[in-house]
Amino acid sequence: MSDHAIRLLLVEDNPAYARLVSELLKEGSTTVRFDTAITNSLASALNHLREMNCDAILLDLGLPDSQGLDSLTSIFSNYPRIPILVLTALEDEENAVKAVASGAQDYLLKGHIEGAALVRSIMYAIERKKSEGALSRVAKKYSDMINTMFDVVFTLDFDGTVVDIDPKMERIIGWTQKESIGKQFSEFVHADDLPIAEAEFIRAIQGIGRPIEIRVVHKDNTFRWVRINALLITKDGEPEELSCVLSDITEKKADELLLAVQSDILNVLSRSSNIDETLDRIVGIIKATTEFDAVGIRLQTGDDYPFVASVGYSDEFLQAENTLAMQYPQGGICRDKDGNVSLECTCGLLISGKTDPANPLFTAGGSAWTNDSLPFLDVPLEQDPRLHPRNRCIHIGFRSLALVPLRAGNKIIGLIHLASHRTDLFTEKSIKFWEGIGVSMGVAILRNRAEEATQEANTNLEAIFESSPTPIFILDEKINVVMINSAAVLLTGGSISDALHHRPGNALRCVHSSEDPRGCGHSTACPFCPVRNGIESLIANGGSMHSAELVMDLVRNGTTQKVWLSIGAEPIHIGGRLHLCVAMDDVTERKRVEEELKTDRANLERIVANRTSELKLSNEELESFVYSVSHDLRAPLRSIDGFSQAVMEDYADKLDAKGQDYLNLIRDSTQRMGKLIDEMLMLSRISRAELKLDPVNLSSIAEKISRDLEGSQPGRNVEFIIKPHIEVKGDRDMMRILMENLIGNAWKYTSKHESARIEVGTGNGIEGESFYVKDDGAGFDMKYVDKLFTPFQRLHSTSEFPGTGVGLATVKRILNKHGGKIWAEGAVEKGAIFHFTIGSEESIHANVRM
Amino acid sequence: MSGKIRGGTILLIEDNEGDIELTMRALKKNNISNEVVIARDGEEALNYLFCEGVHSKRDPCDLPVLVLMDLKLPKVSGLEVLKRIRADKDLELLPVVILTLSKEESDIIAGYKLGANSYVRKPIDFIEFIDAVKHLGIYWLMLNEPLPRKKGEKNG
Repeated sequence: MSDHAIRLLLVEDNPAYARLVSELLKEGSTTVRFDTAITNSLASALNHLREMNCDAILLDLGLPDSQGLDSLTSIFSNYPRIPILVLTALEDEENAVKAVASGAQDYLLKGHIEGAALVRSIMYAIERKKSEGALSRVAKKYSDMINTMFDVVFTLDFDGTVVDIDPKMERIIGWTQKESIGKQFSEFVHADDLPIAEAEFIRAIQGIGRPIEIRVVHKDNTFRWVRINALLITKDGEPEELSCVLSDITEKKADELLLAVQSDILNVLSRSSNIDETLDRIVGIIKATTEFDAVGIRLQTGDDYPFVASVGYSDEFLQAENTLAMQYPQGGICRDKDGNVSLECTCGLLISGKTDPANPLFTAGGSAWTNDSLPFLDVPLEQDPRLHPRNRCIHIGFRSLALVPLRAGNKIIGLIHLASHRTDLFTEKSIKFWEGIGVSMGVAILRNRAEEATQEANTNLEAIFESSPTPIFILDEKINVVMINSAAVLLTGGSISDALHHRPGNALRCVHSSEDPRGCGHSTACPFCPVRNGIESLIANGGSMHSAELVMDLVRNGTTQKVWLSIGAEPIHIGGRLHLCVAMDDVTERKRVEEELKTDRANLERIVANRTSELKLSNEELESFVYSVSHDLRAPLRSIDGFSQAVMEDYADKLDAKGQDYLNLIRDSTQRMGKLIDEMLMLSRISRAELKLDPVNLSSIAEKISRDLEGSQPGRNVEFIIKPHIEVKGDRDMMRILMENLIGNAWKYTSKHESARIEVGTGNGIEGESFYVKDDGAGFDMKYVDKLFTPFQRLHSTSEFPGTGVGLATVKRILNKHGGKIWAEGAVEKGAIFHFTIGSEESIHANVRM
Repeated sequence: MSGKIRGGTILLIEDNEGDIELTMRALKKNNISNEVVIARDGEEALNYLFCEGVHSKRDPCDLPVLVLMDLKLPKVSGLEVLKRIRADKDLELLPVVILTLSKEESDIIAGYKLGANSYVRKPIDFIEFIDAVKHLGIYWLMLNEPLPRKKGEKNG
């Protein structure tokens, strides 16, 4: 005995008795457990049975809503497989027999039941029902066998009336024996087959009948295929009646039909190249030759699996069903973690290959089928093997449904959708058949798609080859041109036929290819041809060439020209044989431009070098000019001065005061001129000189200058205030000259004062850091400030203050070279202050470059 | 000038007549009474020193005690003469004072590099010049010890 509890339904309206029964059951056995449900009416009992499975029913016949055996028959007719034990208070033998006859397993008297006996009765009832079931199944099998073993016999008279008919015929045509006799047999024949039947009838009554296969129509309008053999019966030589034997060949016919469908489909698949057309035809074939109301094919299109061919579905159905993609409630397609679109409904489940063969809805081949879809509406969600079922098919009324995958190897690329409003159209065998069709179709479709893809790739490659602006030649192993694109034809300057099947030298019209009648490769120059050597080396050793720049002597417009080619070559295989794909660009123009550029650059450099040396030369000339000028100018000055002095000394007694005076004036002038020459020399030298930038301490320079000045005129009372640590970056000599001039000027222009104060310091103004030399001497009128730095422009006469007028110009020139500025403020007799700045190192370098 | 001035010839190499006159005057003013030989260009100077040309009859041992030389000379420049002097075994130690108008750094450097003993710039002011010559005289003709002479023997 199994260890699960026996599920018992006790239908008893008396609660006290119901409790008693429960007690009796507990008492009655230690090994058997009962899970007892109690209902108190027929209606509630039926409800319970609808919801729950039950192993046995204890039924009280006296129920409020049903009397006597009605309850029994009611329950038994709905649940014939559950053993029912009847309980009653009445001691009625007749009723007992009737009860058992009506389907009860046992009849128990209330009041005479004790625990153990009750349990025993229930267990026996369950066992008995089991064997009954088995027996009835065996019996059914045998009866089926018998039915098919023996054909049905009927007799017709000569006007086609049924005279006698085997009662078994009822199974086939639905009319009883009684109803059938007297009818015209033609009434049972399928309209389409009537002509055959009638023709055969006429032959049969002539005695030359042959077996025919026709359809006979059932009372419920279904049909069955039958094979009928008619035999003419004679009595005493006279035709009496037609005796017919009929066998049901529906199954066989169905098989034949399927085979025909299969053969047609395979034919279509092998012939046609347009997949869409093929699928349409297949769908048509299936629909025409089977009883399905709708046939459709879903095929992978991008990420989704829409119906690509269908017949028998409404437009709304197709529109709604054209995507299998699961969508979020707010819109948007669901994707799984690999980024693939999630598919839903039974179709989606099947295509994803996630069907569970353990579930009766699915087959080992991955198909889903049912002969009645309605119960699926009631299946609770946890138990539903389908993924997010849409139930549209069911709602439309398709009861028989089969979804069969289109397979290519392990890949499912779609499915065949077969639907009918009728139930019971499929068998395991037929599903297997469709699965075979699914595989054939899958393989054919996949192969077709692969071919299309290859075709597309080839077309694309051809387009790329043809449209490339780079000339491309394809050479075979013998270095003949086997393929050439338009750009290459242009390069050769000839036509395609001039190039195809020739060697590259001929194709490109290399000048050497005409030296020998055998063409390219046979001239004495050919062993040295870089193109030939390059290509032959590639063919022999493999590898590739990239941007090799080689030159060939090609004939263009009647003349031989040196043509530079930039060549790239890659080995490829065509039809399994080694070829070379060679791309050549004519880069002669670029090469020419490069050469020109090189020449231009060399020229330019030469010109620049020339100019530089010219400049150097003129600089040197200037140098020596300045040198000799200063020298030659000074010499006469010495003479003038010297001999004036000589005259003054030697002829003093002959000269009066005025004479002496004049001679002194002569001497003064010559000395002045000497100074002028020196200073001009200096000015010019400064302009030409190259700066040597060093850190310079202006304070220490100023201090030395102040000491020298004090030493030269020790009598003077001059206070020097020099700010220490004034550091600049400049040319040391020029800075010295600058300070000598400025401080020298300050010294000079304070010489008329008793005491003087000369300052050297720094300031911070708009110009940034600046430096200044300040004195409290003669000063100048600001009206003439612009003349200060112009050479030879003086604001005082030489008798007032000696000077050449070049000093400040020199200072300005020095500061210019240092990227600096100078400006002055002054007032007559109130002294002057000269500010200057020195430029940054970068600005100085910029200046020098200019 | 007091003190004993050494005897001996002074070779004055100068092309400018005015300068010659002035130099002679300055020497006279300073009571420097040594014999002054004048060479008016570089070639003449070399002829004198090497006893060639017009001076081929001269005694090679009779070397001047001081050479006063201008740089800017016709035919052969002062620096070239200096080079020749310093290249000769007999003359290389001859005192040469460059007396010139040029203040050019390059000349000064070249002069010293070639072995001049002194470089003096001729001032335009004659008074100053007289002073300069005085100093030269004191130094070269009195103070400075000359190279000892070997009479009658030619060196090298």
